Amino acid sequence: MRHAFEIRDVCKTYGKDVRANDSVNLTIAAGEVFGILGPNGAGKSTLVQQMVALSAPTTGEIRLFGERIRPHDRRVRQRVGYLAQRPLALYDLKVREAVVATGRLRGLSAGQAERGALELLHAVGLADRQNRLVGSLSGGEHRLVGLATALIGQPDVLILDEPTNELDPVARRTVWDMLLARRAAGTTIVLVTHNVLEAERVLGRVAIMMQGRIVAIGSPGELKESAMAQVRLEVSLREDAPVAPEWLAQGRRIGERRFSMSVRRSGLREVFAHLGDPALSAAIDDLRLTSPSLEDVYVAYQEKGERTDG
Amino acid sequence: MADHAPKAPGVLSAFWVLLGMQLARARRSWRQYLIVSSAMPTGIAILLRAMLGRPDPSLALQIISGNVVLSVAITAIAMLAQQVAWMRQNRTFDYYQTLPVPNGAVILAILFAYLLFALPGIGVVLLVGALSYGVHLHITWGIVPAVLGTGVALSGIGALLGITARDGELAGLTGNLVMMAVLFLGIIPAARLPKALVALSDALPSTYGVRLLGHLLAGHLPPGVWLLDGACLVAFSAVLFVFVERLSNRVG
Repeated sequence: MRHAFEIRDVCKTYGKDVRANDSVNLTIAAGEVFGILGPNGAGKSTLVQQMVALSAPTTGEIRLFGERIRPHDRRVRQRVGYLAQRPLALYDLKVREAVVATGRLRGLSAGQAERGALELLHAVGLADRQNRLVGSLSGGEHRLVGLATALIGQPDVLILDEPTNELDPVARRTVWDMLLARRAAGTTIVLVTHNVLEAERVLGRVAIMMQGRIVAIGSPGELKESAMAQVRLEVSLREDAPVAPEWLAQGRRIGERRFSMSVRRSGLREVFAHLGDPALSAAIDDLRLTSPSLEDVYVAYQEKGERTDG
Repeated sequence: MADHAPKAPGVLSAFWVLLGMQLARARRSWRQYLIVSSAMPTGIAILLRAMLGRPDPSLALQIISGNVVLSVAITAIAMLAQQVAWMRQNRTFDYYQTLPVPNGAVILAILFAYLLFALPGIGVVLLVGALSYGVHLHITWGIVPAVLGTGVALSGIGALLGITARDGELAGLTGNLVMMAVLFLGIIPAARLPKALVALSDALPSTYGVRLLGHLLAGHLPPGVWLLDGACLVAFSAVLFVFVERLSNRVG
C-alpha cells in the first residue's frame, strides 16, 4: 500500500512547557479519507500545519509520498490543497477572481483556471455570487470560496480544517458529496472536523486526538465496536413534563428537554426499571436506544480525558 | 496514484497574478491611498512655500523631490508595514505559503502594489509643487526608474517593519517614525544637517532617491550622481529584499 503521509514520532513544542503534539505516529494511505477528531486545543491544527509544511516538527518527521517534508516545501505546496480554519483573507477579490487566481498560482493556464473555477462555483452553489467581493459574503459563503480554492487544480491530497463550519445543512451535504466524489477519484483527504456525525459518511479511518496525543485510531466501525459494550439512550421529555429525574439529568443534555447517555448493556435492566415508572413514561415524548455512533465514541474519549485531568 | 498536479507557475507569471491580487485592494481603498499619499506631502510643500517665501530653485527642487519621496514613503513604509503586520497576525501568508509560488514573488507583488498606490500622490505633489514654487520641472522617463528604485527600497523597509513588529499597531507606529525620518532627512539638504544626522541620512535609501529625483527634475543629471545614487538604491533594494524574503519564511 502506498502511503500519502507517514508521521513518525512528531512532537511540537512551543517555549519550554507547551507541547502541542506529543509523539504522534500515523500513516495515511494514498486515496484514503482520514479524519482527525478532538476537542479544541487537542493539537489537530498544529499537526495539520506541519503536514502542509507551514511549520516544522520540533522532533520527528513527516513524509509525503515517501519524501520527507521540509519547512515551506514547494513539493507539498504543489500536491496538497489546504483549507485553513481561518477564513480566506482575499476580501478585495471577486469570488471568481479568488478561485481563478488560486488556480493560476497552482500552475493552471488562464483558460483551465477559468473553467475549473466556474465548475467549482457551480458545485458549491456560488455561481450566482461569482462577481461579488469575497469580503461581502456571509461566513458560510466565505467558507465555500475557501473550499473551492482548496479544490481547484485537483491536488492529489486535500487537507481540510473544519470544511463545514458555518454552513447550512444543504451546503454541508453538498460539501460531503463533493468530498465523496473526490474520494472516488482517488484523492487523499485529511479532514479535521467537529462535525463527527456527518463526517462519518465519508471517513475511512479516524484518529482521536487529546492533549496532543493520538488516543484512538481505526475505522469508524472498529472504534464503535470498541464501545459496543455500551448503547446510547436518547430521551426527549414533553414540554409540560416536570423536572427530569436525577438519573436522566446525569446524561448529556443535547436539547432543552433532550438527554443522551451511554448505558452499559449490563445496566439496561436498571434503565428499563426507571423507564417503567408511570410518571416518567407519561412525561416521555420520544425514546431511542441505539448502537453508539462515532460521535459517542469521540465523546466517550473526551469525557475519559477530562476525568483523567480531574 | 498518478501524480497529476499541474506544474508550478514560473516566477514571472506568478508575480503578475499576485500583483493583480494585491492591486485589487485599490477597489475599496483607492480614495484612502490617494488622499493619504498626497495630502501630507502637498501640505508640507505648501507650508514650506508659505514660510520660506520664494526659495532658490535648488532648494525648491529639494523640497519637491523630498515630498515626492515622502509620498512614496507613506504608502511604502507606514501603510505597508501595517498591512504586512496585519497579514501576519491574520495568517494571510498561510494562503500564499501553501501554494507553489516562491515567497519572493509574493513579497515583490506586495511591494510593487504599494508602490503603485503612491503614483497618484506623486502626480499631485509634482503638480502642486511646480505651481506653488513656480519652478519648471523636467518630467522625463528617467523619473520612473528613480521612483521605482526608491519605492522598492522603501517598501523593503516597510515590509521588514511589518514582519518584525509584534502587531499591526506597533508596525504602524514604527512605520510612522521611519517615515518622519525620511521626511526630515530627505527634505533638509545634507549641508544643513548636524553631522550625526548626516550618517543617519546616508543610511536611508530615501536620501539617494531625493538627490536623484532633484537632479532629474532640474534636467541636469551628472553621470556620477546617476551611477552612485542608482547603485545605492539597487543595493538597498537587493539587501532589503533578501532580508524580507528570508524573514517571510518564518512568518506563521
